[in-house]
Amino acid sequence: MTAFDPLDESLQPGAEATPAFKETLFARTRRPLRLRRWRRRLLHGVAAACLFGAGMAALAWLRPVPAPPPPVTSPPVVAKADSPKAEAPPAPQALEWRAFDQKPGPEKTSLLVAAGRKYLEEENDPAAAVRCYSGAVGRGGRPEVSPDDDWLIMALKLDRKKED
Amino acid sequence: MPPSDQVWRERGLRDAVLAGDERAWRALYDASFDSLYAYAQWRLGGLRHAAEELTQETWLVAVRRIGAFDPEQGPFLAWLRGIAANLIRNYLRRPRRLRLSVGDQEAADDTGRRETAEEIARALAALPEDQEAVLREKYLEQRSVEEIAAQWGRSAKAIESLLSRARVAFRGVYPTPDAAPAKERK
Repeated sequence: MTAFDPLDESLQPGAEATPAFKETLFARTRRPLRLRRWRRRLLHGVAAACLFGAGMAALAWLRPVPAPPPPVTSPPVVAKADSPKAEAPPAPQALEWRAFDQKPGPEKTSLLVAAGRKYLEEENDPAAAVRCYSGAVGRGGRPEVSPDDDWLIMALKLDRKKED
Repeated sequence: MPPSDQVWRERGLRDAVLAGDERAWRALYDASFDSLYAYAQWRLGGLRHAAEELTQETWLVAVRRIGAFDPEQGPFLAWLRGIAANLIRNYLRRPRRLRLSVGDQEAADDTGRRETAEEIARALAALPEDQEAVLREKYLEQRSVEEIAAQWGRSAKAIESLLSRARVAFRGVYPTPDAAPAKERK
């Protein structure tokens, strides 16, 4: 059995709060909460916008720079027909014709030798080569065998020597 | 509810409130409103309108500063009581004319009752924290010495001793409990 304690009277709990007070107060505490929610949404929006901007910037930075369009150049001017052409080496027929037009002499002989060599080496035409070589060997003088001679003209020279 | 469950629950509710969740705030509010209001009224010697004013101020501070609430340090109600205790100390430091809120004007005529209540409030505010807590458990929460001992993890004898020291200290500041118009408190 506990003795009477005057503190029991002084420190007793009071009456409860009214429901109206409780609800009114709750409504007041909602305002900062709502502000916080909006501020949070705003921050999220700003953060998302910043991220989007950063992403776009990074994308633009990483994308390869398009190559500048090639300068418009005029197509290379084709040499006109009247421009000087590189001299093509004369064909054996041409050499033979030039030898034909020449008067007998060393020029004619060398043209025939050149034509005969071309016939033999380039056109694989031994008959034409024999014709030219025969003309060169048969035109006066003693045909001397040269180390530059090919086998055909050498044979023709030796044959001519035997005939002589 | 086991303390770990309460910590987990209150941490979740706090995080939700920080995200602006009103339902979480409502849950915390409903769970602690009555206890906080009773505490404010008890600490203010039964001054109803002052208790309402202090309760309102406590909740407004709480909703603004809930990020500072750490469930690991103690339950939400204890955090609220800490805010309320600070506000009550500030309230008692105010000049008397500023302490008379609009609602308390109704009771201003009952000067004697008001003075008694303020003396009780001052006496409680002057007590060390553990002595105020044991008086609160005993008189406000109406717990027995054994229940307090079990809750605090101390022996009944230690609680009885603390309670005895708290009563002496309270009487030292508020020496005329017999004269207190306790019957006027409802």
